[in-house]
Amino acid sequence: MHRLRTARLAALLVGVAMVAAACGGGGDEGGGTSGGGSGQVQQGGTLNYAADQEPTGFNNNTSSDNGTSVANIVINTMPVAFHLTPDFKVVMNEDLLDSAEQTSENPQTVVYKIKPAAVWSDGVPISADDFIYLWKNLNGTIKDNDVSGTTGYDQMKSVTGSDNGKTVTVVYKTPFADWKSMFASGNFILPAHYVEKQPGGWNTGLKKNPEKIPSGGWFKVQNWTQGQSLTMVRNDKYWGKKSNLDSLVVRFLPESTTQPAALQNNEVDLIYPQPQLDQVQQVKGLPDVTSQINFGPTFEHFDFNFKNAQLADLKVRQAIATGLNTQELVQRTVKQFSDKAEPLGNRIYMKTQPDQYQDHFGQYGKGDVAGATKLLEEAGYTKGSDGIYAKGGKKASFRISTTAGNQLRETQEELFQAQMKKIGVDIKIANADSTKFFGEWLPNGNFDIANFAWVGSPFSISGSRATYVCGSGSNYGQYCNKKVDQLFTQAFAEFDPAKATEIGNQIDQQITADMATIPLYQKPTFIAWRNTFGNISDNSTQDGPFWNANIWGQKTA
Amino acid sequence: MLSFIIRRLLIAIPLVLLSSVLVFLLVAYSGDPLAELKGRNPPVPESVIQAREHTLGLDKPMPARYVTWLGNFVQGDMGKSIGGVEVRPLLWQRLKITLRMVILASILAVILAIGAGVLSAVKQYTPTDYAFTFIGFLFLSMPVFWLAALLKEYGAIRFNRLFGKQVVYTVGAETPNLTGSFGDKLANYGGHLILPTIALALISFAAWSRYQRATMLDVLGSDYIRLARAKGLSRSRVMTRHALRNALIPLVTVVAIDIGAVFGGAVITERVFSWQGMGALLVQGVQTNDVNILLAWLMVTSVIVVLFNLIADVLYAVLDPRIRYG
Repeated sequence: MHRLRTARLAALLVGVAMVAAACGGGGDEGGGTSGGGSGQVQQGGTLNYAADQEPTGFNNNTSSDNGTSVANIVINTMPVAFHLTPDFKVVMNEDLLDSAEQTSENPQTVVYKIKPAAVWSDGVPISADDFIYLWKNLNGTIKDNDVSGTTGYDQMKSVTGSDNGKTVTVVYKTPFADWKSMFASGNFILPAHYVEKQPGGWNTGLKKNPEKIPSGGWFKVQNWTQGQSLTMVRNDKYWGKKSNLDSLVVRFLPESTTQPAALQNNEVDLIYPQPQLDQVQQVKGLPDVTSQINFGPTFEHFDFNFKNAQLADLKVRQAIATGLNTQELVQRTVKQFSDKAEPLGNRIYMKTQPDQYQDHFGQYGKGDVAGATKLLEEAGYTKGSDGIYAKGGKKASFRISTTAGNQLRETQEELFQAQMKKIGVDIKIANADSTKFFGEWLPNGNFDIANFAWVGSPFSISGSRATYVCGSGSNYGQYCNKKVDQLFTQAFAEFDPAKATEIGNQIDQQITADMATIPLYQKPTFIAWRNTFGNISDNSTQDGPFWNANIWGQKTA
Repeated sequence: MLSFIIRRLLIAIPLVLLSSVLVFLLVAYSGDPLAELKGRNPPVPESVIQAREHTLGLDKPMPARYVTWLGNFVQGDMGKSIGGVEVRPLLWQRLKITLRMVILASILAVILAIGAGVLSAVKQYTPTDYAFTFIGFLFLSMPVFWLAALLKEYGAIRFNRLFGKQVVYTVGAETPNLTGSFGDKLANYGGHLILPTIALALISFAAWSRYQRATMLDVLGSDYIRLARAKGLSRSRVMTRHALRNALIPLVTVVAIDIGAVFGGAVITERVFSWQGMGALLVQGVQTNDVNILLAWLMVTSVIVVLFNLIADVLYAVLDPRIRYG
């Protein structure tokens, strides 16, 4: 998404993008012609993308539109202050802004300088009014406003404009170290002058007629035929690097298993489905198609329920973590997608953040039966005639729960069950469909050990806080350590990124010491495209595959 | 006949009303439609969840919810989906897509089934009969997703490659932003329609042809056919005027009921060809526990099924002169 003004800089960006995709994303490229993502591209042409879901609207800042299907469209039409790169770096949107700097720590003040040339496609300048509109609607003060979240915006004291609306000054009430996450990916800046006039305004004003919504991106929506497709065309008013492609068509194909055949039959040019093993193998075998497996910020984990009296005992949790063989889990599940899959040893930072990642889980997860049984015995458990440990007549028997029908997770459960049997812990599998699991079981604490995934973020501290602090609604296992809470508060106010990373790692070390959860591995993402197109590369962060769609193009012959 | 139709329509009203109660209870107790929203991380503010509960009427007692929903439904207001999309236009748009596939497939399947069933019966225990029996059971036992995979590979990908031209398509109902002459557009619709139509038609044909064969055999063995032959009527007259006409009666009932059900979407066929029809809408509604989508879908399909039952009854009377309704 780095749109640069000159062709020379654009070419440099292509190079950077390719390096980032190759190195940072942990990519595993396969398919026909190698290096299908690079090459000289030309102006013009249409790319057809297969989406398995249709957008629900176009205001990604509301809870109803806060999904990938919407984000993958509005990232092409609405600007943000900061982008996320494939190697999980946070970089300023140099097309939109001349600068974005924190000018004071007390009170924390951030000044954004908007480029004078930045305009919406209807000619109205992109200005402080758009920033103010976003803040006012996301800070939680407007009753009945549908918002995806208020984090950060509710800590802002004021957002003001000056310099003819081209300078935005944000003053925070309390320190917020992840200030770059504001007005950034996931919180797209809206054309305030348009949304305010729509019936339904913020909540529903952008549900219909996307072709009328002024664009601040390299594409603008031309038409939306519900149930069929959405077409975006080059935004000629875009002041940055304009799109090479004339148009980008998003085809709504609800069944992702149909995508490989559609790719082979030239009906679509790009697919980005949830990876399934047979599908990945099928695509890898297609001629003239390039594919990549990357590892994104979403990671699988096991969570312990601290309300379970037996699991409240640290030694029992440690015994389970010691007897667990994460390498075997990875080998039998996610490694089938890519040889580069590895166990994860941190919950705050991913392996794809090499500058911040530290492995704190290395001493566990090795399938150490002797070590695990020793811990159980230290906890007062004795082995019964059936090979299962018990204490006070109560067997070490727990349920593991996940989303029913998810084959990968069900395999994980079975492996976990077998591994735990070796250390004398009985595991029973009790799953629920995803709606019930996420909507009822987890929030109500109806589980012993839960297996699901969290979506990580380059904004690691603010993104993780709700999962681990005492009493949080997302802290399903009811883990509570005041030290962790205090470290999060400290990290929130730490403006030095190196020191914040240090605190982030301290938090993870403490969570490992308390064995609140067990991190397993990062989940793969899968992208494939026809080799007739160049400059495509995955971005497994929240920015997604369209992060650099303006430089995509048809390869020159 | 008119009074018969009116009487049947009047009977259908309480039937639909009763089905609406059942449908509402089934959907209302199938889970929390806001479960996904409540499970998000970072968490969505509580006020947003409460507002959404209010919009969907989830904060009201069940009888009040039903009365409100029914009142709105009969006025044509089917509410909004969880994502805030108006359900009525969505349903209408999906129904049109499904109709495109179902009508053609059903016509094709009926013609094939009658032809194959009659031929099988007339040439009972001959190679023709065995061949149709084999084909019938082959398609009866073949999963539609597998048939679809075969059709895509050989009927589209290899076919197009052979002709060096995009003629047959594997996904969707039409190519987006279609331009060109009327003929070009027609060719594009046809190219998208061909595989799902064949798949759906073959599956329906298989069952219906077996049914047609059995009824035709029954009729051919009956006394009045023997009498017709003994009176010296020509073979073709006996077959068409006496045998086929009577043998069609049970098939008409089956086909009418089946087509009524298929309007709800050929769920698997739509999915394997990525058609955004009624079947795909049902799957989406179930996956997201979307109350208004599910209620609207179930009610509309209930009405269609009742309607087609009525059509079956009417056709029954038309085909069989012995049946007269007062």
